[in-house]
Amino acid sequence: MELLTALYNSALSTWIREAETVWAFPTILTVHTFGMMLLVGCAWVMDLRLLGVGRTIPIGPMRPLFRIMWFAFWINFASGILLFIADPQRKAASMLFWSKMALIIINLPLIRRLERAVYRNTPEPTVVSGGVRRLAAASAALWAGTIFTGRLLGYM
Amino acid sequence: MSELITPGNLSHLHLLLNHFPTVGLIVAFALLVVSILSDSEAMKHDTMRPTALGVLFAIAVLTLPVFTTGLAAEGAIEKLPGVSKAAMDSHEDSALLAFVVLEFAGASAWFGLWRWRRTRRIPPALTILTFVLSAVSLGLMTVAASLGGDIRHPEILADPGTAGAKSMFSMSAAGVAFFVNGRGHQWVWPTLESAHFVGMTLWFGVLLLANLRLMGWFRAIPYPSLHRLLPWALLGFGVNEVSGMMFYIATPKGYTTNVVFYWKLIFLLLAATDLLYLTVWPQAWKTDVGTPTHVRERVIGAAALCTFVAVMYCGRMLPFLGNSF
Repeated sequence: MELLTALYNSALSTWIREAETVWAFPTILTVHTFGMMLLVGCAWVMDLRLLGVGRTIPIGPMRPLFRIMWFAFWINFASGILLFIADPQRKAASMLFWSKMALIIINLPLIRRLERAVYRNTPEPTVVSGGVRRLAAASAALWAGTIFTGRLLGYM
Repeated sequence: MSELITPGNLSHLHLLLNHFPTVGLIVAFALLVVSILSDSEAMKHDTMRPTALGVLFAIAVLTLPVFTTGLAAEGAIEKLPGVSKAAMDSHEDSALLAFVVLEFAGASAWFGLWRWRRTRRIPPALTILTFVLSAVSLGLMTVAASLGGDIRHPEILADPGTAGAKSMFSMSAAGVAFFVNGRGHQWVWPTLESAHFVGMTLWFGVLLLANLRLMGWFRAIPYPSLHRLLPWALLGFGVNEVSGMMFYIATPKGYTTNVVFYWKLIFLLLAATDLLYLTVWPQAWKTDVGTPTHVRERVIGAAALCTFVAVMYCGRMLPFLGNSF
């Protein structure tokens, strides 16, 4: 708790929270939103295809979407840490915040497993196994939960 | 641009734009009717009917700024002598119902175009649905336009005693506002915000991949296969339009006086144009496996991606730039 208070009183935290400039809190929040739409947008397109929407789309060439997702994840990891630094005590005391973290921590290895499972046998898969479909559905649902908990954090 | 956001200018804009859902809708409806009555196969399947559907979709999109400038116009004239709040409310409520039905007509027209691109045929059921929805919205728009005229032109009323009377063909904006903001409904706004983010992520993901393909990436994917995903982008837009309009109706003053909101509307109209382009553009449809793309498609794709980010930026920055909330 003392650590969180020290963090709250740090120059960086104060600047993000209180600076009278659009480049502080508003811009960090917007970057976080940009990362979200890139990460979850690509994830949902991949999941939709694996769940059987647009069966004529070849799955092999969609693989770079996973790289875009990881790129966007690191944007949000960094911007998310800055948002936490701006308001550490309330975030750390919030069930919503820890629910959001839990959803992400479950989802990240799921995405790793999903990519491996899809491309395990061939770089040009044509059939999607039941296991892959379940992984895709679970990951898509976890992203929806992450968006809800994250968005509700703004109203706690 | 902020010096242009005056109540007077917005009122003027409302009076200019309201020709789209009235006069424009009559033109689109007439094109659709002629294409249905015509014996010509070309008019049914190649020329007039797809044109009618495209115009209808465009009018459904352009009606968004008509509705949103309406509440700004109310702010401009509400204190003038002889202007009745009741007359403005009955105009707003009838316009809201007409707007909702027109948006469904626009979505139905879009589905017709989407099927047409794939099969060169518009399914009869979609044609009938579009015809019915656009006919109903035309009738409702006529009521809304007539009630709108009464606000500043009481001389056109047959019986001045009826000024401000509610039309039976309306949807209560006050009811929507109560649902979003009313006592005991604290959960509604945050839930709608979450849905707004879900919808944005959905349309952005689909349109990102489609535009990247036309910009020359993902060349091993034939564009027509990505075309199958476009209804999910429309679904995302739909979720966002419903949630966004609910925010707007609940707290109009946070938006009507905020210049960032008008920027967002402009970028939104451009984003809808990109959806129409991705749906029907012949060069896009011909983009097969390995087909390199023309510099024109690359420029359009890059501009579209910037537009999407701009829509998000203006929305996210609404509370921070400008003066709302």
